[in-house]
Amino acid sequence: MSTAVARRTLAARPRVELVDLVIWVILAALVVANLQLNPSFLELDNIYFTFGSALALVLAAMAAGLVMLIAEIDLAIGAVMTLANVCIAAWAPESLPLALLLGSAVGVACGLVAGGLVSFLRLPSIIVTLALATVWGGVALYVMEKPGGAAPTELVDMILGPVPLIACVAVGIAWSWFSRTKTGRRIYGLGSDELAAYLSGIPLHTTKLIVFGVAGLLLGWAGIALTAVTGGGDPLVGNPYTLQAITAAVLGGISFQGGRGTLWGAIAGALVLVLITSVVQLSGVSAFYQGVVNGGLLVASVALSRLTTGRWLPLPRIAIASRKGSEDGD
Amino acid sequence: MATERALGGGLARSGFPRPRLTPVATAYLVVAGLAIVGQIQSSSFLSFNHVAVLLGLTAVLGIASAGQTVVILSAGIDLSVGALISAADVLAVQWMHGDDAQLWVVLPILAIGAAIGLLNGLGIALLRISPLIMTLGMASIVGGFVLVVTSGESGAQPAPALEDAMTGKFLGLPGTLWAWIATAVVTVLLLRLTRFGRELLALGSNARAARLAGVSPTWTTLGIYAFSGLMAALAGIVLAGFTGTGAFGIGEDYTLLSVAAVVIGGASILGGRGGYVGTIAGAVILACLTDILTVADVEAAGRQIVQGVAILIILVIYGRERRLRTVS
Repeated sequence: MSTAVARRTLAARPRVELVDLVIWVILAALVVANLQLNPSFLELDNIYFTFGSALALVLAAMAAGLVMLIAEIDLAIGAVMTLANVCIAAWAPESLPLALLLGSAVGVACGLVAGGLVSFLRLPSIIVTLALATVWGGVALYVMEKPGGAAPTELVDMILGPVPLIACVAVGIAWSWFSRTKTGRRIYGLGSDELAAYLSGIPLHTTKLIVFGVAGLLLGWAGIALTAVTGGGDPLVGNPYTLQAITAAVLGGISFQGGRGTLWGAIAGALVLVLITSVVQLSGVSAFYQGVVNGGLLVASVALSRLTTGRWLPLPRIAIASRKGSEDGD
Repeated sequence: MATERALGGGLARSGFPRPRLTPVATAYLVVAGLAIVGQIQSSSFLSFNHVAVLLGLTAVLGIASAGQTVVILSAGIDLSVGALISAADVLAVQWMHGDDAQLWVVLPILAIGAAIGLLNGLGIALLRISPLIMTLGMASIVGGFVLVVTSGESGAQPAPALEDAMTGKFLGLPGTLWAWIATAVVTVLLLRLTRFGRELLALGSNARAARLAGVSPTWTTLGIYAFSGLMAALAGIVLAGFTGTGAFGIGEDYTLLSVAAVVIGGASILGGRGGYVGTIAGAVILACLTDILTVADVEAAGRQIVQGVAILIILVIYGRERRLRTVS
């Protein structure tokens, strides 16, 4: 009984462990590797360019990580980004403010739908987001049947300048503040143990809704960044981002079981993925290996974190989206 | 908690009337409803020929869902199904090269499918990687390796014998349907009559109790995912024979569809509840929906939306989790 009580203590503060710092070491190593292959890698223009091409994934990884913090999962990441992308390209090809507004609105709307279904109707997020991915994909096809449209020129110019770098740092700092607010603490509490969070009076529905809403906003922004990079709309453009964003979040030390990790880790994870891609390209390895590298990294990073934390023993704990309460005393 | 699971959802939600219809019965009612809608829409919907063709078209999904059913019953999920179907499809076409003498490559392809499933199982059982992450990563790895092995060329044609078998008819039924029937019989017997079937259900409803009762979580998990990989590979081969081409990404949609078929068929995503008989209804519902919408001239985008919404509606009907208020 006493252990059960101890287990129910909320981890309200984001815990940073040594393992979480590994990702930054890997990031540094990749910067060195890139510098070896491309001496101008650390020139200002190139740094801007790197962040410009990474921004969409950074934001998507933050969204994936945020949802994972409350032990849910979002498999509609790519679809939401696609929807934001085609909406901008179809309806706001001229005006920058309209494009920003439209992207954010689409993202938040999609996020709230998913959040509502998961929190109020208590549906498992994995199937909800899989099904919503189909729905958003279909809506995107209605908006734009085949690649076309355009992005506002100011938006395209922006992605080449210092804006993406500033944006990455700004969202990171915003997260540092947000995670220390009451809502931020509640997110960690909810993620570590939903039942305990419920028993201590955390408003579960509202918190989940906020998480999905904010994640949706981030995905809308990711869609805007993606539009700036591609310069047009494409009803299939976001697809690869679902896997990559989750990989980045997992690489960055955010636990799939919820309640562990910070979104700075997700940012680092996303940058690591982008830099690995550029190393693979610069060193002339076939692009076919990209999928192998991405998938392998995802699995390897989880396996590694299991090994380093000593939790690798074959115990029968194979529940997905586990209600932690149902694992009592395990 | 454990007793609550064992007693079933009806008792857990005390205060609510016990639902009269099981999810499986509801799923078959939906099938009947869709059949009536289809019949009203076009008078030949329920003719023997149309039903046979429709079921033949559903076979690939049905076979892939057999593996997914077994995985979901054990409280896991397999998101590598689509990638494996694509892989088996492309490899079958590449290696057969339109030559009947090369028909034997079916065996190594099935073995590859089972082996990849086994790898999933190893990661999940031994490294305790969550099934979602493990199979998602594996999907990407398999997709990459297929590109590498085939150098990005999908070309050629399957063995004519395979193509004839899958597109032809025997005793009035399409070849793909026979493949599905065989799979269905094996899967239902596996779940109902074998020790493995009982063990994976036990594992799915309460992993801890199952272990205490002598179920080996490691071996059972390995078997579960190997079976799913095997079924996905089989679905890919059937697809290759049926379409007569190999195409990268041809199987992608089947990941969502197979999960959807299982869930619509009344299985709980949390494991332990459901069965393949329900999944068959789930697959047929998805096929009927597509068929009816296609006849009604709804374009692909619209069909996609309706499919997603239908999955959500069915989830709302019987896929909801318990209120925390009723826990412990």
